[in-house]
Amino acid sequence: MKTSPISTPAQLAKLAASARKAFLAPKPKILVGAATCGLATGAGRVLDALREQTNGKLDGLRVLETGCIGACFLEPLVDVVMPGQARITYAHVTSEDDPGILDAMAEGKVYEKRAVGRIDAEPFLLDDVKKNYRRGKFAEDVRKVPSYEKVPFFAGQLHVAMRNCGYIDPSSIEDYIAKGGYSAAAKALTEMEPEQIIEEIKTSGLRGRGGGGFPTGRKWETARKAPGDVRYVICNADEGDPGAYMDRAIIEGDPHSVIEGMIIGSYAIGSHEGYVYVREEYPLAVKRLRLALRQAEEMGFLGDNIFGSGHRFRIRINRGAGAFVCGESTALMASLEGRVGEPRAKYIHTVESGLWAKPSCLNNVETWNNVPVIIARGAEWYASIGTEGSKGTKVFSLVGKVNRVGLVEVPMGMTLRQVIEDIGGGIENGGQFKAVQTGGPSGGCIPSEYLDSPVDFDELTKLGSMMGSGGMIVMDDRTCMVDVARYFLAFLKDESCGKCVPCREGTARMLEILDGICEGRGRPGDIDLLHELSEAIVDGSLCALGGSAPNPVLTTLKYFSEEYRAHIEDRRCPAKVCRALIRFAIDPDKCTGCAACVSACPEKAISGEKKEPHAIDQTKCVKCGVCVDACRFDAIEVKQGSETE
Amino acid sequence: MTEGEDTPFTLNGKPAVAHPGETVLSVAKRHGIHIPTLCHHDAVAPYGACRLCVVEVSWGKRSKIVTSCIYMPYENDSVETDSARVRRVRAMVLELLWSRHPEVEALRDLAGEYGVEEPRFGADPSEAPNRCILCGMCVRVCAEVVGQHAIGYARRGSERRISTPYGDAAEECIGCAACVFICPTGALHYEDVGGLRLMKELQTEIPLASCRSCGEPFATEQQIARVQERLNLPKEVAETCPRCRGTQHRRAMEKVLVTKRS
Amino acid sequence: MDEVLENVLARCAPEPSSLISVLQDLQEEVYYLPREALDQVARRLGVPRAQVYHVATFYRAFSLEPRGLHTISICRGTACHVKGAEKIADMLRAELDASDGETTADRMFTVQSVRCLGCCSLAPAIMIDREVYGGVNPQKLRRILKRYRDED
Repeated sequence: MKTSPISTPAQLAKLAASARKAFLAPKPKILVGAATCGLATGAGRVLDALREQTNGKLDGLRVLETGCIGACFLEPLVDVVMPGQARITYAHVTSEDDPGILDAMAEGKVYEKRAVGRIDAEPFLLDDVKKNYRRGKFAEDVRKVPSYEKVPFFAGQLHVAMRNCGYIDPSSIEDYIAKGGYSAAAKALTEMEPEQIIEEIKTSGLRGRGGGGFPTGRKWETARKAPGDVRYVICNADEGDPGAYMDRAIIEGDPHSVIEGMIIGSYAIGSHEGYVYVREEYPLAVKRLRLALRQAEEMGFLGDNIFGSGHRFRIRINRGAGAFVCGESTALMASLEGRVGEPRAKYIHTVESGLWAKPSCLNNVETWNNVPVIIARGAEWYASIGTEGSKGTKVFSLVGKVNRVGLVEVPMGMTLRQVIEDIGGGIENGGQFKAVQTGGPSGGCIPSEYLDSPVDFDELTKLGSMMGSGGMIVMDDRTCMVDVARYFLAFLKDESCGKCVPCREGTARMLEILDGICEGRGRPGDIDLLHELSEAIVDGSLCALGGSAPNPVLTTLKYFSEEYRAHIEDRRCPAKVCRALIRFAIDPDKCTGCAACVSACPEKAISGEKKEPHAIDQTKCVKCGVCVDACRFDAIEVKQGSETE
Repeated sequence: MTEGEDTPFTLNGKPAVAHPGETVLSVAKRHGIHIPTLCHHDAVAPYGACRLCVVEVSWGKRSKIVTSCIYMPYENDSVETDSARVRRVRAMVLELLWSRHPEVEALRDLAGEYGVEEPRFGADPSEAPNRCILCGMCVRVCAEVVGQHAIGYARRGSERRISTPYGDAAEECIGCAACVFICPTGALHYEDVGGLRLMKELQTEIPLASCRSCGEPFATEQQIARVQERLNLPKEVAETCPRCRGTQHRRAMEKVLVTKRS
Repeated sequence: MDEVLENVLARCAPEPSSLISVLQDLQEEVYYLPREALDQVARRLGVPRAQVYHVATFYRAFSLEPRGLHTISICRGTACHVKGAEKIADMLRAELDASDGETTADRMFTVQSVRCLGCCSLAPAIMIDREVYGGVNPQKLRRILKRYRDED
């Protein structure tokens, strides 16, 4: 549908009406979850097969790619919308299921083998409207499929930032407009004054979703008031926290939501140039965003005289080049300027002097994405969700040892337990919950005593961790907390820019101590020295990367001191993870001599006669554990201690 | 801090005033208060890397640690240049640096001033001992003052090093040896031998020029050319060594005075 | 090389802020950053060589040494770590005789670690060029590597 540019809100409204009509047209539609993780599970093959195999019995069938709805543990996901029927979600779909799905569609039936959920109405969050797919009762086989409100993974969720993910084709600007997209920008630019918009954002209570949690309205206000004519708006899509991928999902599933947020922000602050800084490890997100920017320009939503308001605004994409530190605002701006990502002191904030020493308003992807919702639905509505100090919803990446891994969006204030157990389904493989790590490398590990804490900026900070960008990594009794601390330190040491002494030298020395502890060389003064180093690093570091580097160590020392003691005094790793403190042994009673482990072993450390119990040569074994995975008879045991009895 | 106005604040319990754009380090110097630095030099822009010059700033009940070489005080700030918290940071910075560079006496002495008698961390056995503490003053002087950018950084984190491009001979080097002079630990070296200036770490050999007055080699040809070009000096002046220039100037002044007297 | 470089330089403004984009585009074309090209870039963008060198060695995306035809990135995210990313490094070492940061003798693969691919539901994950593979185990890995070898 090639449309001519939109230059007034009235034209947009007209297009939106016709786009919505087309969107809701009673024609069969198949949506395949084709974001990066969907594709990694094979959604690409499913999609190709569907496109080839349309059996000709489905008139007007559209097969579309869509973004991630969050249920990553069910991928590949294929959703079917038949005229007059509820939307059915099919999980773990392979290309072999495609003919079955198409046949079921042609007969107006549910392909029961893969059906996991049912959506009864198409949501239009910006208009506070739900369009039921059907009037009257559903057919019996449809009713048998649980509605999303009854599916534990989805039951507690509230999709605001993810409002379009999994519902629209991210490469279609018409889909975005059909859902009410760009109407908030039109309203902001033609009916509101910049100061009004800033007030609205302030009243909403929106706080930065990237980690800092700084009140967004206040940041915009300072940016607007800063002296000078040139201001920049920047979207931080560097998303460096390991385990966090909600920003990627938003850009891949709903790129226009970020663009619209930035348009509104640019008008409120008085900026004409915007940048999106995307990490280079997200090629699909870059691709989707590039297309979306081109579409927005062609439609006239970017460029000169947007909606006839006189405001002009353009956005450029810059890609990261593999440096976690570039998620830090001053390092990000240095990178935009073509320099190395070295942070600078923030005694003068970037809102006053940032990119090219001009006032710059940097916000996270999810923050920008929330802006159109606040303008469309109002600050009061937004502030009615969440807690006193943390308004709205937050997308969390719930990963690690949970049964249901994925992206979860819930109102602030839900407890950790509700997220991990009710939505996440608790610990996988019958394990025991041990800790949940939040806030990435700047955050900390929270033990089970605090599972009933509400998820909220200030509550998590009180526990010694932080919300960060929303990563929630669940750990069980097979996770060694000392190893986790060491992992984060190794990560930060690798990513340190190296400019200041406390971070460059301090984290390296902390890592040396932790390496020693994990390798059975721990010494009595280690813990005190770790505390001493931590204090100096927190106080002395130039930027927040260094300033928060000790946090994982400090929280694990606080909540899991017993594990440290066992490593240092007993030379024992209770979770049987630290390679130097364990050994692998084959149980001769269980071993059938099938030799599956022999070929799997990367070090050729296992030997034995055919059909006879095999043995591991401890001098060659590197404790990688691949043999345990390969063994079908559960014959390989992990034992405490590196010495054989 | 307001544009164009002095900012009153408290420095070590006494009232002090920061001129527009003035840092705590500069104010402290004016008041005779010593703050140690390793990566700071008046000739180059402040960098804030060594973290030795940290001070503690309090306002109300809150306080934070900032580097005095960059921080410009606000009106209600109370700055302590030697609080316990500051000393702890400095002690750790020095212990970390000294343990990495055990042969640098300046670090040993400074560390001693902060109670560090013996470093608790070992030097890296796989690396050859080196004296470079990565303060970056050599990089900054070559970039900002000399304008040649012959030397820079490579890599990041604990791999960060001062390096010539690709680790090869630095084509841009003019042999002025400003980097050698500004280095606080003596990590850079040069030698004048056989009419050539050999810049060791920059791996360059640049012909020395001789003074057209006394005939002694005093600077490299390239350095003289740059100075002449930059300051628009007549050739005779640029090619005369500082001592002879001084002598010539004195003689010229004497002539003027004699003339005046007579 | 000259033509490639000209094309790359034509895509953006000849000023210092274009440095990173130019290096990214250049590396995509020739799989690494040749020294002569870097010197040219320095001249054309008005950036001192020392600074170009720092940028080229600071960012992990850049390589001054020729990379393999395919880059295998092992995800080192937290979820992948707790689900055995180290094992994958061991497997790759056994299969390809190349450790982290190394290129195979036949120049087919370069092995590197990346901080997080964001595919935590598929831990442990790897990315080969731009394709992500999840739930990697020895058999799967062998199958995947064979596919790339057969292709080329």
